[in-house]
Amino acid sequence: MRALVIDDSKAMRLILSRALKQSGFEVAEAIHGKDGLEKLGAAGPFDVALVDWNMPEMNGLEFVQAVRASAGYAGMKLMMVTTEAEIARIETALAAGADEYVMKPFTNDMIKDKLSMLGLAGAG
Amino acid sequence: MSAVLASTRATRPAWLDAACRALAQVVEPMLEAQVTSIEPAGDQHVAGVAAYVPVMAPGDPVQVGVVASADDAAAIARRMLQLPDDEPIGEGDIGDAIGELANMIAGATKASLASEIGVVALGLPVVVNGRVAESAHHSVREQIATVGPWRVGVVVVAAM
Repeated sequence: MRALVIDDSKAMRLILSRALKQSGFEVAEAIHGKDGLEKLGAAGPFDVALVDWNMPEMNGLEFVQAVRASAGYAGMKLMMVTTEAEIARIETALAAGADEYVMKPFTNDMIKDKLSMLGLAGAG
Repeated sequence: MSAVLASTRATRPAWLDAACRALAQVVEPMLEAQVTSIEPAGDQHVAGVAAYVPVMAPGDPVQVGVVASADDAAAIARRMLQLPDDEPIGEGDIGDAIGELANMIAGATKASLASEIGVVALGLPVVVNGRVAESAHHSVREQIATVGPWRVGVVVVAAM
Protein backbone atom coordinates (compact mmCIF):
# COMPACT_ATOMS: atom_id res chain seq x y z
CA MET A 1 0.00 0.00 0.00
CA ARG A 2 1.30 3.45 -0.89
CA ALA A 3 0.37 6.74 0.74
CA LEU A 4 1.15 10.35 -0.18
CA VAL A 5 1.31 12.90 2.64
CA ILE A 6 0.81 16.51 1.51
CA ASP A 7 1.42 19.18 4.14
CA ASP A 8 3.56 22.32 4.19
CA SER A 9 4.64 21.53 7.76
CA LYS A 10 7.61 19.20 7.97
CA ALA A 11 6.58 18.31 11.51
CA MET A 12 3.12 17.26 10.38
CA ARG A 13 4.49 15.28 7.44
CA LEU A 14 6.78 13.42 9.82
CA ILE A 15 3.98 12.67 12.30
CA LEU A 16 1.62 11.43 9.59
CA SER A 17 4.32 9.46 7.78
CA ARG A 18 5.29 7.72 11.00
CA ALA A 19 1.67 6.73 11.68
CA LEU A 20 1.28 5.43 8.13
CA LYS A 21 4.52 3.45 8.21
CA GLN A 22 3.41 1.83 11.50
CA SER A 23 0.35 0.68 9.57
CA GLY A 24 2.49 -0.85 6.85
CA PHE A 25 2.32 1.88 4.23
CA GLU A 26 5.10 2.95 1.94
CA VAL A 27 5.03 6.76 2.20
CA ALA A 28 5.97 9.66 -0.07
CA GLU A 29 5.74 13.32 0.92
CA ALA A 30 4.85 16.58 -0.82
CA ILE A 31 5.10 20.13 0.52
CA HIS A 32 1.96 21.55 -1.14
CA GLY A 33 -0.76 20.60 -3.60
CA LYS A 34 1.25 21.43 -6.70
CA ASP A 35 4.13 19.30 -5.43
CA GLY A 36 1.60 16.56 -4.72
CA LEU A 37 0.37 16.62 -8.31
CA GLU A 38 3.96 16.42 -9.50
CA LYS A 39 4.58 13.40 -7.25
CA LEU A 40 1.47 11.75 -8.69
CA GLY A 41 2.64 12.49 -12.20
CA ALA A 42 6.03 10.95 -11.50
CA ALA A 43 5.01 7.96 -9.39
CA GLY A 44 1.46 7.24 -10.53
CA PRO A 45 -1.61 6.88 -8.30
CA PHE A 46 -1.22 6.16 -4.60
CA ASP A 47 -3.74 4.16 -2.58
CA VAL A 48 -4.43 7.20 -0.43
CA ALA A 49 -3.36 10.83 -0.11
CA LEU A 50 -3.54 12.65 3.22
CA VAL A 51 -3.95 16.33 2.40
CA ASP A 52 -3.71 19.48 4.49
CA TRP A 53 -6.05 22.36 3.56
CA ASN A 54 -4.05 25.57 4.06
CA MET A 55 -0.84 25.43 2.04
CA PRO A 56 1.08 27.79 -0.25
CA GLU A 57 1.19 27.34 -4.05
CA MET A 58 -1.86 25.05 -4.21
CA ASN A 59 -4.11 24.38 -1.23
CA GLY A 60 -5.62 21.04 -0.33
CA LEU A 61 -9.06 21.76 -1.70
CA GLU A 62 -7.58 22.70 -5.07
CA PHE A 63 -5.54 19.49 -5.00
CA VAL A 64 -8.65 17.41 -4.33
CA GLN A 65 -10.49 19.14 -7.16
CA ALA A 66 -7.57 18.58 -9.54
CA VAL A 67 -7.28 14.88 -8.66
CA ARG A 68 -11.01 14.28 -8.99
CA ALA A 69 -10.96 15.97 -12.41
CA SER A 70 -8.58 13.28 -13.65
CA ALA A 71 -10.03 9.84 -14.45
CA GLY A 72 -6.59 8.31 -13.97
CA TYR A 73 -6.80 8.86 -10.22
CA ALA A 74 -10.41 7.75 -9.77
CA GLY A 75 -9.50 4.89 -7.42
CA MET A 76 -7.27 6.95 -5.16
CA LYS A 77 -8.70 7.73 -1.72
CA LEU A 78 -8.36 11.30 -0.49
CA MET A 79 -8.32 12.20 3.19
CA MET A 80 -8.24 15.81 4.31
CA VAL A 81 -6.18 16.30 7.50
CA THR A 82 -6.69 19.88 8.54
CA THR A 83 -7.37 22.50 11.19
CA GLU A 84 -10.47 23.57 9.24
CA ALA A 85 -13.11 22.18 11.57
CA GLU A 86 -16.36 23.92 10.62
CA ILE A 87 -19.16 21.78 9.18
CA ALA A 88 -19.33 24.00 6.09
CA ARG A 89 -15.66 23.33 5.36
CA ILE A 90 -16.11 19.58 5.77
CA GLU A 91 -19.11 19.66 3.43
CA THR A 92 -17.10 21.63 0.88
CA ALA A 93 -14.23 19.14 0.96
CA LEU A 94 -16.51 16.11 0.70
CA ALA A 95 -18.44 17.73 -2.16
CA ALA A 96 -15.15 18.33 -3.97
CA GLY A 97 -14.33 14.64 -3.75
CA ALA A 98 -12.57 14.02 -0.45
CA ASP A 99 -13.41 10.60 0.98
CA GLU A 100 -12.62 11.28 4.62
CA TYR A 101 -11.88 14.21 6.88
CA VAL A 102 -9.64 14.31 9.98
CA MET A 103 -9.36 17.39 12.15
CA LYS A 104 -6.07 18.42 13.69
CA PRO A 105 -5.12 17.73 16.41
CA PHE A 106 -5.44 13.98 15.98
CA THR A 107 -4.04 10.80 17.44
CA ASN A 108 -2.45 7.95 15.50
CA ASP A 109 -5.47 5.80 16.35
CA MET A 110 -7.77 8.35 14.70
CA ILE A 111 -5.72 8.13 11.50
CA LYS A 112 -5.75 4.33 11.61
CA ASP A 113 -9.51 4.28 12.19
CA LYS A 114 -10.11 6.54 9.19
CA LEU A 115 -7.87 4.40 7.00
CA SER A 116 -9.83 1.34 8.07
CA MET A 117 -13.07 3.11 7.21
CA LEU A 118 -11.66 3.66 3.73
CA GLY A 119 -11.08 -0.07 3.44
CA LEU A 120 -7.32 0.24 3.26
CA ALA A 121 -5.94 -3.12 4.35
CA GLY A 122 -2.64 -1.65 5.49
CA ALA A 123 -4.38 0.00 8.43
CA GLY A 124 -3.75 -2.34 11.33
CA MET B 1 -19.09 49.77 17.03
CA SER B 2 -21.91 49.42 14.55
CA ALA B 3 -24.84 47.12 15.18
CA VAL B 4 -23.73 44.97 12.25
CA LEU B 5 -20.25 44.53 13.64
CA ALA B 6 -21.61 43.95 17.12
CA SER B 7 -23.68 41.06 15.83
CA THR B 8 -20.78 39.33 14.09
CA ARG B 9 -17.76 40.21 16.20
CA ALA B 10 -16.46 38.05 19.00
CA THR B 11 -15.14 40.28 21.75
CA ARG B 12 -11.38 40.43 22.24
CA PRO B 13 -11.49 38.62 25.59
CA ALA B 14 -13.48 35.85 23.90
CA TRP B 15 -10.71 35.39 21.36
CA LEU B 16 -8.11 34.97 24.08
CA ASP B 17 -10.29 32.68 26.19
CA ALA B 18 -11.04 30.57 23.13
CA ALA B 19 -7.34 30.40 22.21
CA CYS B 20 -6.47 29.21 25.72
CA ARG B 21 -9.13 26.50 25.55
CA ALA B 22 -7.79 25.54 22.13
CA LEU B 23 -4.27 25.21 23.55
CA ALA B 24 -5.57 22.66 26.06
CA GLN B 25 -7.32 20.73 23.28
CA VAL B 26 -4.21 20.65 21.11
CA VAL B 27 -1.42 19.83 23.53
CA GLU B 28 -2.96 16.67 24.92
CA PRO B 29 -2.95 14.64 21.69
CA MET B 30 0.04 16.34 20.05
CA LEU B 31 2.41 16.72 23.01
CA GLU B 32 0.93 14.24 25.50
CA ALA B 33 0.95 17.09 27.98
CA GLN B 34 -1.71 18.93 29.95
CA VAL B 35 -2.33 22.57 30.73
CA THR B 36 -2.09 22.86 34.50
CA SER B 37 -2.48 26.63 34.87
CA ILE B 38 -3.33 29.70 32.84
CA GLU B 39 -2.83 33.22 34.13
CA PRO B 40 -2.61 36.75 32.72
CA ALA B 41 0.84 37.59 31.45
CA GLY B 42 1.02 40.94 33.22
CA ASP B 43 4.62 42.06 32.84
CA GLN B 44 5.92 38.48 32.74
CA HIS B 45 5.82 38.03 28.98
CA VAL B 46 7.28 34.93 27.41
CA ALA B 47 9.90 35.77 24.79
CA GLY B 48 11.59 33.43 22.38
CA VAL B 49 10.21 31.49 19.42
CA ALA B 50 6.74 32.64 18.42
CA ALA B 51 4.30 31.74 15.65
CA TYR B 52 1.23 33.72 14.60
CA VAL B 53 -1.65 32.62 12.38
CA PRO B 54 -4.05 35.14 10.83
CA VAL B 55 -7.74 34.45 11.46
CA MET B 56 -9.63 36.50 8.88
CA ALA B 57 -12.82 37.16 10.80
CA PRO B 58 -14.91 39.82 9.03
CA GLY B 59 -14.79 43.09 10.94
CA ASP B 60 -12.27 41.77 13.46
CA PRO B 61 -9.30 39.99 11.90
CA VAL B 62 -6.85 38.81 14.54
CA GLN B 63 -3.64 36.87 14.78
CA VAL B 64 -3.58 33.94 17.18
CA GLY B 65 -0.12 33.02 18.35
CA VAL B 66 1.96 30.99 20.73
CA VAL B 67 5.36 31.82 22.13
CA ALA B 68 7.88 29.87 24.18
CA SER B 69 11.45 30.42 25.29
CA ALA B 70 14.08 29.02 22.94
CA ASP B 71 14.74 26.07 25.25
CA ASP B 72 11.06 25.31 25.79
CA ALA B 73 10.34 25.67 22.08
CA ALA B 74 13.09 23.17 21.30
CA ALA B 75 11.73 20.75 23.91
CA ILE B 76 8.18 21.14 22.58
CA ALA B 77 9.37 20.51 19.03
CA ARG B 78 11.27 17.41 20.13
CA ARG B 79 8.18 16.09 21.90
CA MET B 80 6.00 16.80 18.88
CA LEU B 81 8.45 15.03 16.58
CA GLN B 82 8.96 12.24 19.13
CA LEU B 83 12.70 12.85 19.27
CA PRO B 84 14.88 12.00 22.30
CA ASP B 85 15.39 14.88 24.73
CA ASP B 86 19.11 15.08 23.97
CA GLU B 87 18.82 14.93 20.18
CA PRO B 88 19.96 18.13 18.44
CA ILE B 89 17.18 19.91 16.57
CA GLY B 90 17.57 22.70 14.04
CA GLU B 91 16.08 26.17 14.20
CA GLY B 92 13.97 25.46 11.12
CA ASP B 93 12.43 22.34 12.63
CA ILE B 94 11.67 24.17 15.86
CA GLY B 95 9.97 27.00 13.99
CA ASP B 96 8.04 24.56 11.84
CA ALA B 97 6.75 22.67 14.88
CA ILE B 98 5.77 25.84 16.77
CA GLY B 99 4.12 27.13 13.59
CA GLU B 100 2.06 23.98 13.27
CA LEU B 101 1.12 24.19 16.93
CA ALA B 102 -0.11 27.77 16.37
CA ASN B 103 -1.98 26.60 13.26
CA MET B 104 -3.88 23.95 15.22
CA ILE B 105 -4.64 26.37 18.05
CA ALA B 106 -5.92 29.00 15.60
CA GLY B 107 -8.08 26.39 13.88
CA ALA B 108 -9.60 25.20 17.14
CA THR B 109 -10.08 28.81 18.25
CA LYS B 110 -12.06 29.84 15.20
CA ALA B 111 -14.07 26.62 15.29
CA SER B 112 -15.14 27.29 18.87
CA LEU B 113 -16.25 30.82 17.91
CA ALA B 114 -17.98 29.77 14.69
CA SER B 115 -21.44 30.69 15.97
CA GLU B 116 -20.23 34.26 16.45
CA ILE B 117 -17.80 34.79 13.57
CA GLY B 118 -19.10 32.37 10.95
CA VAL B 119 -16.83 30.35 8.68
CA VAL B 120 -13.59 32.28 8.25
CA ALA B 121 -10.27 31.50 6.63
CA LEU B 122 -6.92 30.96 8.29
CA GLY B 123 -3.69 32.34 6.91
CA LEU B 124 -0.37 30.58 6.96
CA PRO B 125 1.77 30.67 10.13
CA VAL B 126 4.49 33.28 10.49
CA VAL B 127 7.34 32.28 12.80
CA VAL B 128 9.38 34.97 14.54
CA ASN B 129 11.99 35.28 17.25
CA GLY B 130 10.84 37.66 19.97
CA ARG B 131 7.38 39.03 20.64
CA VAL B 132 5.00 41.48 19.04
CA ALA B 133 4.90 44.76 20.90
CA GLU B 134 1.65 46.67 21.39
CA SER B 135 1.31 49.82 19.31
CA ALA B 136 -1.16 52.58 18.57
CA HIS B 137 -2.53 50.37 15.80
CA HIS B 138 -2.94 47.02 17.47
CA SER B 139 -3.45 45.43 20.86
CA VAL B 140 -1.54 42.42 22.13
CA ARG B 141 -3.24 40.27 24.76
CA GLU B 142 -1.43 37.37 26.34
CA GLN B 143 -1.98 34.63 28.86
CA ILE B 144 0.73 32.37 30.19
CA ALA B 145 -0.02 28.67 30.33
CA THR B 146 1.92 25.98 32.10
CA VAL B 147 1.96 23.02 29.73
CA GLY B 148 3.66 20.03 31.29
CA PRO B 149 7.12 21.39 32.22
CA TRP B 150 6.93 24.33 29.82
CA ARG B 151 5.69 27.95 29.92
CA VAL B 152 3.74 28.86 26.80
CA GLY B 153 2.36 32.27 25.98
CA VAL B 154 -1.00 32.36 24.19
CA VAL B 155 -1.28 35.62 22.29
CA VAL B 156 -4.02 37.43 20.38
CA VAL B 157 -3.01 40.43 18.26
CA ALA B 158 -5.89 42.58 17.07
CA ALA B 159 -6.35 45.92 15.36
CA MET B 160 -7.29 48.77 17.68
